Formats: sequence, C-alpha cells, structure tokens
Amino acid sequence: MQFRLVRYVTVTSLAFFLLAALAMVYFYRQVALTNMLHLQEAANVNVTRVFANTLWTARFVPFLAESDGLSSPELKNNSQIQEIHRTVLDLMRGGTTYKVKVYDRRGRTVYSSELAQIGEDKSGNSGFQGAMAGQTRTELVHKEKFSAFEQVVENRDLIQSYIPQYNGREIAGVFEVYSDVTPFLGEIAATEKKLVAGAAVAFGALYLALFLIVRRAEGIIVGQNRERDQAQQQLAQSEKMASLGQLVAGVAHQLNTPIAFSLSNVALAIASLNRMALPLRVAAHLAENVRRHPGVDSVRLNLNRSRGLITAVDCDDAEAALAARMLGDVQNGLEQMRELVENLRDFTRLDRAKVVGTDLNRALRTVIYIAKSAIPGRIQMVEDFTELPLLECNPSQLNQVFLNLINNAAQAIPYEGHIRVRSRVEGREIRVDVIDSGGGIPQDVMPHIFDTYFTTKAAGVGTGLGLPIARDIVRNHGGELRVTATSSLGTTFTVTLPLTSGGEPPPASRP
Amino acid sequence: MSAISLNPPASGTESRGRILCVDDEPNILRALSWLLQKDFEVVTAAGGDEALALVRRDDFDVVISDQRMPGMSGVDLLREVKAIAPRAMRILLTGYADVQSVLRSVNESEIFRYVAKPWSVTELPKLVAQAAAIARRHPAGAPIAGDLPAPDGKGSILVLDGDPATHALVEVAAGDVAEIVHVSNVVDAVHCLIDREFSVLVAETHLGPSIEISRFICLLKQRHPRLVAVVLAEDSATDTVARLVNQGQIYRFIPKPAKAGYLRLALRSALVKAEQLHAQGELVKRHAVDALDTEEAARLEADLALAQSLVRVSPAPSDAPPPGNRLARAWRRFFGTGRA
Ligand SMILES: Nc1ncnc2c1ncn2[C@@H]1O[C@H](COP(=O)(O)OP(=O)(O)OP(=O)(O)O)[C@@H](O)[C@H]1O
Ligand SMILES: [Mg+2]
Repeated sequence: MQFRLVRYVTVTSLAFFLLAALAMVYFYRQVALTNMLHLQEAANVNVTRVFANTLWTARFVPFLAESDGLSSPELKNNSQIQEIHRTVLDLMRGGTTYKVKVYDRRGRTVYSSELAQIGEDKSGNSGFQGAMAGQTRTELVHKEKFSAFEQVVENRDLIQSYIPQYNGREIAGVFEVYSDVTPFLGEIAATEKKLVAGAAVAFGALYLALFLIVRRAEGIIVGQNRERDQAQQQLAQSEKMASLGQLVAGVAHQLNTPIAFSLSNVALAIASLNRMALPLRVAAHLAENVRRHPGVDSVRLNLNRSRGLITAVDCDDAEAALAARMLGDVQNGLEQMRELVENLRDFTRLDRAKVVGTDLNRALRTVIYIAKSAIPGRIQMVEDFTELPLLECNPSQLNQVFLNLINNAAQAIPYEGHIRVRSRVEGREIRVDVIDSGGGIPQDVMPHIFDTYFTTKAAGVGTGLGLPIARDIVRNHGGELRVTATSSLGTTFTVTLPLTSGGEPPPASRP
Repeated sequence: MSAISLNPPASGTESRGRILCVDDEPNILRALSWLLQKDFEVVTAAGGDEALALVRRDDFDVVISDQRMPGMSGVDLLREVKAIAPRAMRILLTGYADVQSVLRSVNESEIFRYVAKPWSVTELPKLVAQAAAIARRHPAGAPIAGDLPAPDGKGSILVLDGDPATHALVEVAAGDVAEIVHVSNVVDAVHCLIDREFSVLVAETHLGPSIEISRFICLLKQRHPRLVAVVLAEDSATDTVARLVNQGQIYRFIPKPAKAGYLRLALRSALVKAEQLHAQGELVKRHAVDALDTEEAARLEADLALAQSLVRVSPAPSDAPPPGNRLARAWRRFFGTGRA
C-alpha cells in the first residue's frame, strides 16, 4: 500500500492548525479578561474614592463609630441610613456600578445599596478578609439574578471588588463595589469570533500553500517511483534479452561449425562429381561397346574419335572414395544440426503453459547440451544421473532454473574446472545438485545471493535476477533451492522437488 | 564450381606452401585439408599445445586457427606463433568472437586476416595462397616487443579525431618522441598526407554521430601502405575491427577511453614499426590489404566531397543561453527537477 502523503499532511496539519487556533483564542481571552479585571478594579477603586470623598469622613466614620454598639435590626432602622442611601443612589446613577456595600472591621454589613442586606455578617468572606489584610480583591462573577439598586437584573457578568478603607494608618472598614461588565465581555466574545475567523482564513491560506507544495512533491515522488520501477523492469527485460542473446550466440556458434564444414565439403564434392562426369562418360562408352559384342574376347576402340576424351580423363578411383567421405562428413554435420534443433525444441517447449509428467534427467541433459554451447570449452560438464520417476512439473520453467544454476557455476570458474550435475531420489523428493569447482561464495555475499538485483558481477554480465527467479520457480513447485556447500573449492546448489503432488499444482506460467 | 577446377592440381614435386590448420573440431580440420591439400601441404592440429609443438619443430608459411578451443584460445596461440615463427602469416578463422578476443587478435597476435566461418571455398584458397607467397618472399622483420628501442624522434604522427581530448591525450603520450599534427576532419587529413609523409596515423572510426570513416581509414592505408595505422575508437564492434584488419591492416586498435600509459606504449611500438617499414621497404608487402570494392570506393569519394562542404560551413557553436530560460534554469538548478 502506497503512503498517501497528501492525506497525511492534510489530516495532521489541520489538527495542528485547530490546536493552534484554540490556543490563540484561549490566550486572547486570558489576556483580555486580565486586562478587563485590572481596568475595572481601577474603575472600582475610583468609584470608591468618589464615595469616600463624599461620604467617608462626613458620614461613615461617625456612622461606623456609632454602629459599633448597635444590633443588626437597630442598624437597619438607623435614621442615618436613609440619608446615606440617598446620596449613594445619587452618585451611582448613570454609572456601571450596580451595588455598593460597606463593612465594619468585624465584617458586619453596615450599609448596602440593597437595604435588606444591612446587618448581614460577612466576616468569613475571603474578599473581605483580603481587604482587611490590606489588599484590593477583585473577581469576575456571573449572577443569574442580581438585585441592583433600582431593579433586579438577570444574567449579568459583574466585577466584584473589596477595597479597604483607611482611617489614618489603620483600616477602618471595607467597601464592596459591584460593577457590570456584561458589555465588555460581549465585546471580548465578538473579538474572539473575529479572531477565530481570522485564524481560519490565515491557516486556510497556509494549508493551501502546504497542500500545493506537498501535492507537487507527491507528484514528483510518484513520478520518480514510476521511473524507477520502469528502469528496473527494463533492467529485468534487458537481462532476459542478454541471457537469451548469450544462448542464441552459443547456439549460433554450435550451428555454425557443421554449416561451415558441410558447405565446404559439399562444394568440393560437387566439384569432384563434375570432374567425374567425363570419366563416367568414357566408362559408359566402353561399357556400351562391350555390351554390344557379347561373347567376344576383344573389342575394337576407334581412337580417332575418342582419344581426346580418354586422355583427358584425369582422376583415380580414390577421388570417388574421397567425395564419399566428404559427403559422409556432411551427413554427420546434418546429424549434429538435427540434434541441436531437437534439444532447442525440448528446451523451450512451446507447450509452456502445461504441467506434465517429465523425466527430469532428460530435461537436465537438454539443459546441459544447450549450456555447453554457451559456456567456455575449458569447463567440463559431468552428468551424474540416477533413474528418476516422472515428475509433475512445468519443464520449461525448471529448465530455466537449471540453466541459471549452470550459468552461475560456469561464471564462478575462472580457469579450467568442472560442473557436475547430480540427480537422486531421496524419500519422496527428487534432489538435483549443481556442483561447481569455482571460487565459492564469500561469507559477506552469502546472505544476499537470493536478493533481487543483487549481483557481484559487472554490469552487462549479471543483473542479480538469476537466483531469485530460480528460487521462485522452485518454490512454486513446492520445492526448495538452497546452497548446501560452499568453500574455496566450489559451491553446491541443491534443488529439491517433492514427488507427491500433494501441494497445489505449479502455476501455469510466469510473467 | 568452376572456381575450384581453376586451381590446378599441385604438380607433386613442390607445393605452394606449408599450412598449419588448428581447430578442435575434427570435421573442420578435415574440411580444411580437403579444401587446401590440392595446392598446399596441409598439417592439422586439434589444439593449441599440439600446434605449438608443430610450429617449434617445423617451418610453416601460414597458420590458420579457430578462436574458441578448449585450452588455449586461437588468439593466444597466434600470439605465441608470432614469437616463435614470425615468418608465418597468421589467420584467425572463427564463427563467433567476443570483442575482447577480436581486439587482442589485432593488438597481440597481429593477425593478417580475420576470416569468418563459414568460409568461402573460392576465397579461402586464394587468401592462403597470397599469404603463403608473402611469407616466402618477405620474411618478417625483428619482432617489436619487450624493451622498445626508443624511436629516433624523426617520426611523425597524424591525429584524426573530432574530440579535442584525444588530441591532448596523444600529445601527452607521444609528444616527446614524435612530431604530431592534429586534424579533425577527413579533408584536412587527405591534404596533410598529400603534402608530406607520416609514420603513424592515429584515427577514430567516427568523426561525429553520423560520419563513420573506418572505410576511409582502409582507403588511406591502401594509398599510403607505409603508414602505420592506430585506431583509437569508441566503437569496437567486431565487424568494424575485422574490416579494419582485412582492408586496413591496422597495427593497433585501442578502445576508448584509453589510458595514457597504454597509448604511449602502443604509439612507441607503432613508431618503431614505421621505422622498420621505412628501412626494409618490402616488409610492407606483409601487410597487403584486401581492396575495397570499386562501388564502395566511389561512394567514399562522394562522401569525401560531402564532408568537404560540411566542414567549410560548420559555424562556431554559440553557447549563450536564451535569456527567457534563465530564471527557469536557475529554479531547476536550485530545486532540481525530480527526474533522474
Ligand atoms: N555457483 C556460484 N559460485 C559463486 N558465487 C555464486 C554462485 N552462484 C551465485 N553466486 C553469487 O550470487 C550472486 C547472485 O547470483 P544471481 O544468479 O542471482 O545473479 P547474477 O548471476 O549475478 O546475475 P544474472 O543471473 O541475473 O545474470 C552472484 O553475483 C554471485 O556473486
Ligand atoms: Mg546468475
């Protein structure tokens, strides 16, 4: 299965873009909210300052002092409250402040713009405690329902600040101010939306660029792969052609020899026969003469007419014998050619597709005969066969296997040497060994010999397809091809083929 | 088959030469001796070693050998024969030879002819007769081997090749021992050879993709028999080399790319050979060549005229790139094209 680069890039880059966009929005929101809190806190502090200026020293300081001794219900009904409340409302009108509360140092609500809350104890509130420790505490809260000073509002986002209030150096009380930031948050949300849209557009453009680049790259890679495959196919093809060419050259050479001497001999024999025409004519003439005079001891020759002819006779009886020997050699040559053609036919077996019962020894003999014409004469071929039962196989494929093995063996022998082909029956298997006296297979080469395109030979000599193809064919026959011995004295390749037709039949043909 | 009866039977007292035939096929040996025995004294050997023993013991005018034999190959045998019996003319008779052995047959065995199997029953006896006659009348000069006597420096080399690299190479290899003249086309070569005599010709068989000049080299060699030809060529096809041997009697065939050291040796030996030919004029006869047929020669003359017009008009190639492509080329150079 091919790796889908474009898909991969699309999915991963979209995932990362999404992540990046989410992170951006998240950080924006954080920053915006923090900013808003700071801003609102400052605003609330200002509000407090305004209240403080107008109310603190004039009203709350004495009120706080007075309220100290009062109980909560008394506080609620205190006469000063109404007055303070009016002033507060005046100040709050028109602003974003929704509520103002004042606590005394014990955490009791001494005033709230929501009058019902006066007297409540808030000493446990962390905001209050923080303010008592001297810090201004601000937080964002969401209220489903909130009773502001003039009405009850719903579903608001509010900023709540606790602001300490000093009397000289010590904290005299705490202001709590609520202000409405719902519109702010709305703005933030709107900006967020814009941000998301912007990110989508930017990342979309980025993705488009990436997609174009990657698609082009993928096109190039696919093209390169296709070219490489084609090159390999061509190599395989040219290897086939090369080994075929070698075979054809060998066969041509083999044919050429009988052709050469036969042509020469036939020409000489014809010339010889032509020379014999005259003596034959003379002899026939004499014979005719003799026949015409039966029962006489001597005949007369009229030399006037035939002297010229008779003296022109210049050949001895050895000439006929010689011509016969020449033609005998020609016959011999024709016999050689017939043998070659027969072997060629056996080797290629036009019934390629068929699986037939085969005498493997005969196939081996054919392969050896063909191989002999292609391998150098210094290498001796030895047949070491024992009787074999017929084997159900595809003979032309097995021929290819044995030819490959014999060719390899021949190429491993640099000088004189021999190749022995041995056939045996072992249990329910036929075992064929191709044993050469070549240089052996080095240890570092051994693990790779069955790899496609692995070769130690020069370009043009070997393509490294011989053994992998051979092993394929043997395995398709349910057998195995392996190296059973190798040393500096030579190598043995062994083919085992099961006799039981238990396995599935070998495939009809190879591509 | 009147041609055969043209050869009158040998008079018995004296044959026209002693011939040694070598082949591993007894049928071939029989056929050869039947073909040649009328005119020559034929001895056969079934292999290289047997043949060498015979050559050492006896004197032969011609040795005909097959190339592919078990044991010693024909090329190796003929090389040995050259050393043992330099007078004998060497003929390689073969149905199929790989490039390597063909090259060695020229460079090491210095064969007289390369004859293909099947041979012609009319031509082969003629060829053998010619070779035998040459061997009898013109014994070989001293073999050129081992330590070469330094060429006397009066030699001259004509280099005919379209590739400047070859000219440079020859200059490196032999600039110190001979005067070297460089030409890159046939017309100039012809003019040079008319103007003066050269000792050695170094030539390529192709002066461009479509100009094949092996026949021309043969023609030159026929017009100037004393010229020692060294072919330095890319294309070493068997039949080209065979033609150069038979019709051009080239002295060496060196396939490109040639190593300077090897070329140096070859050129030195060629210069010495040229000196030899100069000193002993009749040695040239040992390198008689087969004539080109007249039709071929006529075509060659026509080609020559064509070449002349071609050479005159060939303009200097301009190498400025078209400007529009510059950006595209820079782009391709930076990123590559993705095509192997
Ligand atoms: N009998 C052998 N002796 C030594 N080495 C061998 C022998 N047979 C194969 N090898 C090694 O195995 C390698 C692979 O062999 P294989 O037949 O697959 O390819 P090849 O012979 O190199 O090329 P091709 O068969 O395609 O022409 C060879 O290059 C060689 O090194
Ligand atoms: Mg192989």
